[in-house]
Amino acid sequence: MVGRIYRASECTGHLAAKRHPTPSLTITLYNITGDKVAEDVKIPVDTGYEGPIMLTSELYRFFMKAELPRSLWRSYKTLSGTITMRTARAVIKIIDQEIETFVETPFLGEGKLLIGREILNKLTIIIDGKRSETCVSND
Amino acid sequence: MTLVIKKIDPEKVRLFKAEAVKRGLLLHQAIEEAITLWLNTSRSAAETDFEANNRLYEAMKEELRKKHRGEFAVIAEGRLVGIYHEKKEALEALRSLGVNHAILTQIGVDEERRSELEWWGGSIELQNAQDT
Repeated sequence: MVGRIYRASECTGHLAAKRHPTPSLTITLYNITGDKVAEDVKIPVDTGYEGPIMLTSELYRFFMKAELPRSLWRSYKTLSGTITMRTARAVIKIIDQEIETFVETPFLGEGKLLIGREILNKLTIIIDGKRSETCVSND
Repeated sequence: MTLVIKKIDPEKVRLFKAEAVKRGLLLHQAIEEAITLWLNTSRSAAETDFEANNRLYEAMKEELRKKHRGEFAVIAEGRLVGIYHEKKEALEALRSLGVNHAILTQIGVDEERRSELEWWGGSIELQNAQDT
Protein backbone atom coordinates (compact mmCIF):
# COMPACT_ATOMS: atom_id res chain seq x y z
CA MET A 1 0.00 0.00 0.00
CA VAL A 2 1.37 3.41 -1.01
CA GLY A 3 -0.60 5.33 1.62
CA ARG A 4 -0.59 8.62 -0.27
CA ILE A 5 -3.34 11.16 0.47
CA TYR A 6 -4.60 13.70 -2.07
CA ARG A 7 -6.68 16.73 -1.13
CA ALA A 8 -9.23 17.45 -3.87
CA SER A 9 -9.56 21.14 -4.74
CA GLU A 10 -12.43 20.74 -7.20
CA CYS A 11 -14.45 17.80 -8.45
CA THR A 12 -16.50 17.37 -11.60
CA GLY A 13 -19.25 14.80 -11.97
CA HIS A 14 -18.86 12.27 -14.77
CA LEU A 15 -20.60 13.04 -18.04
CA ALA A 16 -23.42 10.73 -19.02
CA ALA A 17 -22.71 8.05 -21.62
CA LYS A 18 -24.69 5.11 -23.00
CA ARG A 19 -23.66 2.81 -20.11
CA HIS A 20 -20.45 3.90 -18.43
CA PRO A 21 -20.21 7.61 -17.52
CA THR A 22 -17.14 9.54 -18.71
CA PRO A 23 -14.58 11.12 -16.34
CA SER A 24 -14.54 14.87 -17.02
CA LEU A 25 -12.95 18.08 -15.82
CA THR A 26 -14.35 21.60 -15.70
CA ILE A 27 -12.33 24.18 -17.62
CA THR A 28 -12.71 27.70 -18.97
CA LEU A 29 -11.37 28.40 -22.45
CA TYR A 30 -9.86 31.70 -23.60
CA ASN A 31 -8.39 32.55 -26.96
CA ILE A 32 -4.82 33.80 -26.87
CA THR A 33 -5.88 37.46 -26.93
CA GLY A 34 -7.80 36.92 -23.69
CA ASP A 35 -11.40 36.66 -24.87
CA LYS A 36 -13.42 34.15 -22.87
CA VAL A 37 -14.79 31.61 -25.35
CA ALA A 38 -16.44 29.08 -23.06
CA GLU A 39 -16.85 29.14 -19.30
CA ASP A 40 -17.02 26.11 -17.00
CA VAL A 41 -17.15 23.56 -19.79
CA LYS A 42 -17.25 19.92 -18.76
CA ILE A 43 -14.60 18.29 -20.91
CA PRO A 44 -14.12 14.50 -21.13
CA VAL A 45 -10.75 13.14 -19.98
CA ASP A 46 -9.12 11.06 -22.72
CA THR A 47 -5.85 9.43 -21.67
CA GLY A 48 -5.61 7.88 -25.14
CA TYR A 49 -5.30 11.33 -26.75
CA GLU A 50 -1.68 12.43 -26.63
CA GLY A 51 -2.42 16.06 -27.51
CA PRO A 52 -3.58 18.98 -25.33
CA ILE A 53 -7.24 20.00 -25.95
CA MET A 54 -9.43 18.87 -28.81
CA LEU A 55 -12.41 21.03 -29.72
CA THR A 56 -15.39 20.68 -31.98
CA SER A 57 -14.90 22.54 -35.24
CA GLU A 58 -17.63 25.03 -34.22
CA LEU A 59 -15.78 25.97 -31.02
CA TYR A 60 -12.40 25.98 -32.75
CA ARG A 61 -13.52 28.84 -35.03
CA PHE A 62 -13.08 31.23 -32.08
CA PHE A 63 -9.37 30.38 -31.94
CA MET A 64 -8.54 30.79 -35.64
CA LYS A 65 -7.18 34.28 -35.07
CA ALA A 66 -3.98 32.73 -33.71
CA GLU A 67 -3.54 29.55 -35.70
CA LEU A 68 -0.26 27.80 -36.43
CA PRO A 69 0.79 27.52 -40.07
CA ARG A 70 -0.65 24.44 -41.74
CA SER A 71 2.79 22.88 -42.21
CA LEU A 72 3.28 22.87 -38.41
CA TRP A 73 0.07 21.04 -37.56
CA ARG A 74 0.34 17.65 -35.92
CA SER A 75 -1.10 14.40 -37.09
CA TYR A 76 -2.40 11.57 -34.91
CA LYS A 77 -2.39 7.84 -35.48
CA THR A 78 -5.77 6.30 -34.67
CA LEU A 79 -7.29 2.86 -35.05
CA SER A 80 -8.85 3.96 -38.32
CA GLY A 81 -5.94 5.86 -39.88
CA THR A 82 -4.04 9.12 -39.49
CA ILE A 83 -5.84 12.38 -38.70
CA THR A 84 -4.38 15.85 -39.28
CA MET A 85 -5.36 18.47 -36.70
CA ARG A 86 -5.64 22.22 -37.11
CA THR A 87 -3.81 23.88 -34.22
CA ALA A 88 -4.20 27.27 -32.55
CA ARG A 89 -2.87 28.97 -29.43
CA ALA A 90 -5.19 29.19 -26.44
CA VAL A 91 -5.32 29.56 -22.67
CA ILE A 92 -7.27 27.25 -20.39
CA LYS A 93 -8.14 27.76 -16.76
CA ILE A 94 -8.55 24.80 -14.41
CA ILE A 95 -9.53 25.84 -10.89
CA ASP A 96 -7.22 28.86 -10.45
CA GLN A 97 -4.46 27.56 -12.69
CA GLU A 98 -4.04 29.19 -16.12
CA ILE A 99 -2.22 27.12 -18.72
CA GLU A 100 -1.15 28.49 -22.08
CA THR A 101 -1.53 25.69 -24.55
CA PHE A 102 -2.79 24.70 -27.98
CA VAL A 103 -6.24 23.63 -29.06
CA GLU A 104 -6.81 21.27 -31.97
CA THR A 105 -9.62 20.10 -34.20
CA PRO A 106 -9.55 17.67 -37.13
CA PHE A 107 -8.91 19.40 -40.46
CA LEU A 108 -11.62 17.19 -41.89
CA GLY A 109 -14.56 16.24 -39.70
CA GLU A 110 -16.35 17.75 -36.75
CA GLY A 111 -14.01 16.96 -33.85
CA LYS A 112 -14.82 16.35 -30.20
CA LEU A 113 -14.35 18.05 -26.89
CA LEU A 114 -11.49 16.23 -25.12
CA ILE A 115 -8.64 16.94 -22.73
CA GLY A 116 -5.56 14.86 -23.52
CA ARG A 117 -2.30 13.79 -21.94
CA GLU A 118 -0.36 16.95 -22.82
CA ILE A 119 -2.51 18.79 -20.23
CA LEU A 120 -3.40 15.89 -17.95
CA ASN A 121 0.29 15.27 -17.25
CA LYS A 122 0.57 18.79 -15.81
CA LEU A 123 -2.14 18.11 -13.24
CA THR A 124 -2.79 15.86 -10.28
CA ILE A 125 -6.05 14.13 -11.05
CA ILE A 126 -8.06 11.67 -9.04
CA ILE A 127 -10.60 9.65 -10.99
CA ASP A 128 -13.04 8.55 -8.34
CA GLY A 129 -15.12 6.07 -10.25
CA LYS A 130 -17.16 4.96 -7.24
CA ARG A 131 -18.38 8.52 -6.65
CA SER A 132 -18.62 9.26 -10.40
CA GLU A 133 -16.34 12.26 -9.98
CA THR A 134 -12.99 13.43 -11.30
CA CYS A 135 -11.08 15.72 -8.96
CA VAL A 136 -8.09 18.00 -9.33
CA SER A 137 -5.66 18.40 -6.49
CA ASN A 138 -3.38 21.36 -5.90
CA ASP A 139 -1.03 19.24 -3.73
CA MET B 1 -37.41 30.35 -29.79
CA THR B 2 -38.74 33.89 -29.58
CA LEU B 3 -36.39 36.69 -30.59
CA VAL B 4 -36.94 40.40 -29.98
CA ILE B 5 -34.67 42.75 -31.90
CA LYS B 6 -34.53 46.51 -31.39
CA LYS B 7 -33.11 49.36 -33.47
CA ILE B 8 -33.50 47.76 -36.91
CA ASP B 9 -34.06 50.08 -39.87
CA PRO B 10 -37.88 49.81 -40.46
CA GLU B 11 -37.47 50.28 -44.21
CA LYS B 12 -35.11 47.28 -44.37
CA VAL B 13 -37.61 45.22 -42.35
CA ARG B 14 -40.43 46.24 -44.73
CA LEU B 15 -38.38 45.23 -47.78
CA PHE B 16 -37.31 41.98 -46.09
CA LYS B 17 -40.93 41.06 -45.25
CA ALA B 18 -42.03 41.85 -48.81
CA GLU B 19 -39.24 39.68 -50.23
CA ALA B 20 -40.18 36.82 -47.87
CA VAL B 21 -43.83 37.00 -49.01
CA LYS B 22 -42.71 37.08 -52.65
CA ARG B 23 -40.68 33.88 -52.05
CA GLY B 24 -43.54 32.20 -50.21
CA LEU B 25 -41.67 32.11 -46.90
CA LEU B 26 -42.86 32.88 -43.39
CA LEU B 27 -40.83 35.62 -41.69
CA HIS B 28 -39.01 33.21 -39.38
CA GLN B 29 -38.10 30.96 -42.32
CA ALA B 30 -36.69 33.92 -44.23
CA ILE B 31 -34.65 35.06 -41.22
CA GLU B 32 -33.25 31.56 -40.71
CA GLU B 33 -32.29 31.38 -44.37
CA ALA B 34 -30.59 34.79 -44.13
CA ILE B 35 -28.66 33.74 -41.00
CA THR B 36 -27.45 30.53 -42.68
CA LEU B 37 -26.35 32.46 -45.77
CA TRP B 38 -24.48 35.02 -43.67
CA LEU B 39 -22.70 32.34 -41.61
CA ASN B 40 -21.65 30.43 -44.73
CA THR B 41 -20.35 33.60 -46.34
CA SER B 42 -18.21 34.49 -43.33
CA ARG B 43 -16.88 30.91 -43.20
CA SER B 44 -15.75 30.98 -46.81
CA ALA B 45 -14.09 34.36 -46.22
CA ALA B 46 -12.13 32.78 -43.37
CA GLU B 47 -11.01 29.99 -45.66
CA THR B 48 -9.76 32.49 -48.22
CA ASP B 49 -7.68 34.23 -45.56
CA PHE B 50 -6.50 30.82 -44.40
CA GLU B 51 -5.14 29.97 -47.84
CA ALA B 52 -3.53 33.38 -48.36
CA ASN B 53 -1.89 33.43 -44.92
CA ASN B 54 -0.48 29.93 -45.29
CA ARG B 55 0.78 30.64 -48.79
CA LEU B 56 2.70 33.65 -47.49
CA TYR B 57 4.13 31.72 -44.55
CA GLU B 58 5.41 28.96 -46.82
CA ALA B 59 7.00 31.52 -49.11
CA MET B 60 8.72 33.30 -46.19
CA LYS B 61 9.54 30.51 -43.77
CA GLU B 62 13.20 29.99 -44.78
CA GLU B 63 13.94 33.70 -44.47
CA LEU B 64 12.09 33.88 -41.14
CA ARG B 65 14.08 30.92 -39.78
CA LYS B 66 17.40 32.47 -40.79
CA LYS B 67 16.79 35.98 -39.44
CA HIS B 68 14.13 35.79 -36.72
CA ARG B 69 14.46 32.50 -34.83
CA GLY B 70 12.62 32.69 -31.49
CA GLU B 71 10.62 35.78 -32.46
CA PHE B 72 6.86 35.91 -33.09
CA ALA B 73 5.43 36.40 -36.57
CA VAL B 74 1.86 37.56 -37.22
CA ILE B 75 0.41 36.98 -40.69
CA ALA B 76 -3.08 38.15 -41.62
CA GLU B 77 -4.99 39.21 -44.74
CA GLY B 78 -2.26 37.54 -46.81
CA ARG B 79 0.47 39.91 -45.52
CA LEU B 80 3.14 39.90 -42.84
CA VAL B 81 1.69 42.13 -40.13
CA GLY B 82 4.89 42.14 -38.11
CA ILE B 83 7.68 40.28 -36.35
CA TYR B 84 7.91 40.82 -32.62
CA HIS B 85 10.53 40.05 -29.97
CA GLU B 86 7.89 39.68 -27.25
CA LYS B 87 4.70 37.65 -27.43
CA LYS B 88 2.67 40.40 -25.78
CA GLU B 89 3.57 42.72 -28.69
CA ALA B 90 2.35 40.09 -31.15
CA LEU B 91 -0.88 39.72 -29.16
CA GLU B 92 -1.42 43.49 -29.25
CA ALA B 93 -1.06 43.36 -33.03
CA LEU B 94 -3.53 40.48 -33.22
CA ARG B 95 -6.07 42.33 -31.06
CA SER B 96 -6.01 45.30 -33.40
CA LEU B 97 -6.87 43.14 -36.42
CA GLY B 98 -10.52 42.61 -37.35
CA VAL B 99 -9.96 39.29 -39.09
CA ASN B 100 -11.37 35.79 -38.79
CA HIS B 101 -8.09 34.06 -39.47
CA ALA B 102 -4.48 34.89 -38.69
CA ILE B 103 -1.26 33.00 -38.16
CA LEU B 104 0.73 33.50 -34.96
CA THR B 105 3.90 31.47 -34.75
CA GLN B 106 7.09 31.53 -32.74
CA ILE B 107 9.63 31.08 -35.48
CA GLY B 108 11.69 27.92 -35.19
CA VAL B 109 10.14 27.00 -31.84
CA ASP B 110 6.65 25.94 -32.91
CA GLU B 111 8.27 23.66 -35.46
CA GLU B 112 9.65 21.53 -32.66
CA ARG B 113 6.12 20.55 -31.57
CA ARG B 114 5.28 19.14 -34.99
CA SER B 115 5.19 15.35 -34.86
CA GLU B 116 2.98 12.35 -35.33
CA LEU B 117 1.34 11.47 -32.02
CA GLU B 118 -1.28 8.96 -30.97
CA TRP B 119 -5.00 9.00 -30.38
CA TRP B 120 -5.40 5.39 -29.35
CA GLY B 121 -9.03 4.62 -29.25
CA GLY B 122 -10.16 7.68 -31.12
CA SER B 123 -12.58 8.06 -28.19
CA ILE B 124 -14.57 4.99 -29.00
CA GLU B 125 -18.16 5.22 -27.84
CA LEU B 126 -20.57 2.42 -27.12
CA GLN B 127 -23.45 1.88 -29.51
CA ASN B 128 -25.52 -1.03 -30.73
CA ALA B 129 -24.04 -3.03 -33.59
CA GLN B 130 -27.24 -2.69 -35.64
CA ASP B 131 -26.92 1.13 -35.46
CA THR B 132 -23.63 1.06 -37.39
